[in-house]
Amino acid sequence: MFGDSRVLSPLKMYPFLSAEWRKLFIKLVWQYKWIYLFMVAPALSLVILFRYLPMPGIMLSFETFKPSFGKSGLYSFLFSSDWVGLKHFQRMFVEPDFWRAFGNTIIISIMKLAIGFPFPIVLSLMINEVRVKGYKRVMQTVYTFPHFLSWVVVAGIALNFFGDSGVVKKVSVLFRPELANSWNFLYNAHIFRGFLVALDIWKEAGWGTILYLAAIAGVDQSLYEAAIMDGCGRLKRVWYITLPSIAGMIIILFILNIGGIMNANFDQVFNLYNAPVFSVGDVIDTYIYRLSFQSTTVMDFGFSTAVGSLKTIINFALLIFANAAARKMGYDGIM
Amino acid sequence: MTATKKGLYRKEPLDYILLVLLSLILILILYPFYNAVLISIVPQNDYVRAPLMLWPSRVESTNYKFVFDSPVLLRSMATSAVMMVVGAIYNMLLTVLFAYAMTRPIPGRNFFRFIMVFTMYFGGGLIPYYLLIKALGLLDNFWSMVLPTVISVTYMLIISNSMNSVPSELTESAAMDGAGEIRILFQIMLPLLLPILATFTLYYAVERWNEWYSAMLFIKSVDKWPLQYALRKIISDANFISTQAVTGEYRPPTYGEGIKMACIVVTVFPLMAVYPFLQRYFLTGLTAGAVKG
Amino acid sequence: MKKRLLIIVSLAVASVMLFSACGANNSGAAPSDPVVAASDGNAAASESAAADSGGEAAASDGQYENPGYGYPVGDFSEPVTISMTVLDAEKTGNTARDKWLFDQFNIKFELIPVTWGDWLEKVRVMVAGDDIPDILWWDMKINHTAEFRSWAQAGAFREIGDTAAYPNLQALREKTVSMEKMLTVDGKLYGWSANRNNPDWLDNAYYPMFAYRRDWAQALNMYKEGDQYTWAEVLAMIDAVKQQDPNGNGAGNTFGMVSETWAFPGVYMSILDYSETQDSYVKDASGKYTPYFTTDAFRQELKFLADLYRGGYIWKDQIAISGSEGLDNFKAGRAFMYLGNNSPDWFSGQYASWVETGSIDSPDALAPMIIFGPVTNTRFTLVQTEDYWTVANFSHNVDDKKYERILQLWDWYASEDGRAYRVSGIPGVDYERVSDTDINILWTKTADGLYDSPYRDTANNFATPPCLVPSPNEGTNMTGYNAFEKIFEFIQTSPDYFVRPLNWDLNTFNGEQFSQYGSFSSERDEFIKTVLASSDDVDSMLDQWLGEMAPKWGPVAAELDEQLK
Repeated sequence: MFGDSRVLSPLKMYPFLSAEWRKLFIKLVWQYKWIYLFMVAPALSLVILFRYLPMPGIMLSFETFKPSFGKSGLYSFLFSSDWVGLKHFQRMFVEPDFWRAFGNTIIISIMKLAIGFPFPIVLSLMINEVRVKGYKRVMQTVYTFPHFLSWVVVAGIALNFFGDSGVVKKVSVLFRPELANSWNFLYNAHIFRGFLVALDIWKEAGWGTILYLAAIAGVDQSLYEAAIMDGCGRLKRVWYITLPSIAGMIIILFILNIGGIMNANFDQVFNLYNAPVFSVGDVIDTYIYRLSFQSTTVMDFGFSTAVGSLKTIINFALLIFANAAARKMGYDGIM
Repeated sequence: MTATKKGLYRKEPLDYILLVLLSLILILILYPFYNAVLISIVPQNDYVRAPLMLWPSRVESTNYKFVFDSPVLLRSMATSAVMMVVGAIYNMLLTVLFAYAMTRPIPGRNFFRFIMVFTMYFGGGLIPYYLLIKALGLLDNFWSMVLPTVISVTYMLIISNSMNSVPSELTESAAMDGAGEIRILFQIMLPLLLPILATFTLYYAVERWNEWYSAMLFIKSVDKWPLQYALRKIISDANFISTQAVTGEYRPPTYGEGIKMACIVVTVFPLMAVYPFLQRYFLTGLTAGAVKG
Repeated sequence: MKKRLLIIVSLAVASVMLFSACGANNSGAAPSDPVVAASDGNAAASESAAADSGGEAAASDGQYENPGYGYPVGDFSEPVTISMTVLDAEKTGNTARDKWLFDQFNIKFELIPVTWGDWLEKVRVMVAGDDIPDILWWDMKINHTAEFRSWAQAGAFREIGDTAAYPNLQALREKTVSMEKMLTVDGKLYGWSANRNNPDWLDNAYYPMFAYRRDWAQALNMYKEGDQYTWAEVLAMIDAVKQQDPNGNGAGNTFGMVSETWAFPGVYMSILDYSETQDSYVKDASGKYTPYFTTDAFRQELKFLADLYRGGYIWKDQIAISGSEGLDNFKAGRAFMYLGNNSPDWFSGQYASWVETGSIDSPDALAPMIIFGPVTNTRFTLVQTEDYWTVANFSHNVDDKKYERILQLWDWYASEDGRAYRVSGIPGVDYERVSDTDINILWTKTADGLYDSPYRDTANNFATPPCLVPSPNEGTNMTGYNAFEKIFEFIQTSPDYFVRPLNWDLNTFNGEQFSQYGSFSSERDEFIKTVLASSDDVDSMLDQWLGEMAPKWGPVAAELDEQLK
């Protein structure tokens, strides 16, 4: 648990109601003054400065953006823009392309969660079991390499491998000559989602192992020795010692991932998708991007803010739900 | 002890299967990277004919020359290096302090944590952010690329959670010995959590090294460009076909793929060079006997 | 422990920088000292570089009657600082000719770098954040008109008033259609579009022509003098190329047509002659507006393109790429034809690099190609494009002093003296004038007969806003133009050359629906690509899509009917 909260619970229930609780409150604050001053204040004040001050911009979701010129303050654009109420949201809900993007976002994120999330865990468990020390280090380093490539580059590599003049096609044609003219890998709506998930795993699984391996490294070695003396086999040791040591981290990351379902990776999808796969691959962020930059219409910051707001509200709701579920199951949540 | 060691390190068939499997994955991961390096050093014609070659028949350095000919490259590398070091320290310091504060039973703790988590989801959008940076006078300023990053709440939460799994006997005994909060944090907590901290320092460092979007928005002078932004410019130069050829100006022979790959190598090489040295910090951990009693 | 870490990190960074320094090419010598280079190549002294306005120029010839040519005239005693967005900022403003110009006009430029990729985004953020530089120079396209209008009406820009005092600018203003149609809001001019200065007979059509491997066509005995073919001939050539592999690429490794990403699929369709007009909205039989994609001509074009793609004549991966892979393949000899913005200058640039890398033996191997429309097999159709490239706006912050200085500078750029400067450089140092309209460039020539410019690989972009330099000029590499000789002849003389006019009123239309939904061009392009990639029947796919789109374009067409007669 995050510390002993029994002291705090009465404060939570009756914050400023009675003089007694208030005295306790002030006593505690004074006792921990250094923490407030040097630990909480720096990060908190900077976050308020850079993240909360701009937050009223969310009101742009209900406006059509019109810039204000001349002597303008931080929020004057809110007043120079025209109020349109829920018009943006209405427009969203009417556009079938929006719902298509919405559905795709959820499906792709769930696929990534179901298939992609366990990969770094399994991989790190496997790496941890390697007994050859030098090779283990090499593996740990090399596995992280794809993370450093940008999606632009990965898309290019994918083109070389899977494209019309790529290696995979040449090999497939050997087995199935009829594929020579009908090869369709990169713009095939049936496999695109799986393709996204697979590439995402390839690129990020190694990087994810860093964190898990770091957590595993914190396990007390004597536990393993004790287990061996009790006669535990390899797999049992992994299941009962290694895995639980990272359980806390897994839960947190899982909760955070659920809170990120509405954010299918823009970079990845943007660089890999093309018109024939829009029906399955277009996600909310790419939909907004196309609206803003590629059509002959006026780019309205209000509309893109509205869509962003919708996304974040849903994400936040999912986060709260996942957090509550985790707590009910007895794990530490994040809130 | 020897008997136990043998028990721990005896090789089973599982080990061999594991090694084979992991080696296959290694090749799968390594090959495209190797391919990227090759593309950056072979002539364009060779690349297009055999993009997946295993060994180059001819090698040339035109792409790297093009990249390094750019007047901004070295400068932007230095800028990014400074951003990375300063930024990582800045981020890490704030994160660790706040994470520790979240483990102590201070009033309002849940409230503070909520404030942080809230920012993960709700923000004002691009325009108010831009106006804020402008109001703070940080436009065209190096710090506009570092200061607004503050902390990553995800990392803070994980660090905080890890701090909680440090056995409380350690902290309580230190407190009873009269140690203040700062001492407990730095002399007891941090050494035990070294792998986690090293991990997130690395994460932050890589994030700062790869930063380009804030440069695109806020930076107006060429000498403040970070590396990634300069590379994007170089790549788009390579792809851009001049529609108005000024007298005497011509673009040297280049090809887009090669330039892209050379840029990748230039970005990643410094990180790769440093990463193995940091490896050992990721692997230290609690040794038997530290927590006895 | 932490100290060691710090040492390691700084050593690593230092070693990287050392490595990069060794790898760096020191070609920086030339651009930074062009005065020395120029005077090496020219006996005429370079003292003139230091002369002030109206001063002496040491013309070696002395033939031209005005010895003080090339210098701007005016009162520039007050220094002025101007901020401006500019491409290639890191290569701009450092040469001797730049410094000469700054001295002459007493201007200090603050260049704000923008790149091709983020120009639009950066401009939008600057305007939205009220952080507009004195000169906002950007790649405004005609479909940004509605957005520009809203900015102008909100007060972002300063009006460009009466320019009668600047004769060169006034002349440009009168002949540039876009200034009136696109940049004038409520009767006031809020921006300056840079006139392309194309020759009149081109009618402001751009060059959506194919570049092709003439040497392969000759090897196949299918080459035609003049580089003008029908589609049937082209397809036959592609089949032969794939079969006979004149470049020795190996089976299946040669593609027919590749193109720039933006050119696919739109430009392929724009050179077909199924219809005289391809405006986004056309009037149907009953005189009401309807989108072009509902017409029968579009149906024919779509079928034609689908046959091309599905038949393997167009490189299959064209749909999936987003960069320059098309051109890369063409350069490497893996494609027969390439569709892009293949102007004569583009060709000139290509020849140099191709011959150098050994891809072709002589410039004759690469040539532009005209393909006649499939309906008439004699008619060649181009599309009229905007008469400008990029627009410059003045921020609302610009005061009268700056305003005047900028206009004086631009007026000079647009004059003959300014043209000479932009083509070469400093009068007397980089060029000498021989007549009212011609100059002699004083640089040495390389073995290829091209000028060895001391300003190689620098940029002169901030001279662009008033207008582009007319091409070809004294400094142009003519190899590309020579390749176009027969094609230019055709364009200027043949009645079968047809240019689809640009419908300004439609494209700059100010209706609310139109501003929000436009012409559905992206939906159309997406649909076209989906059709190409699939193997279903084109007619049924098109009918289904039209059914889906009908309710969407209805309101826009109604608005057009009402407001645009």
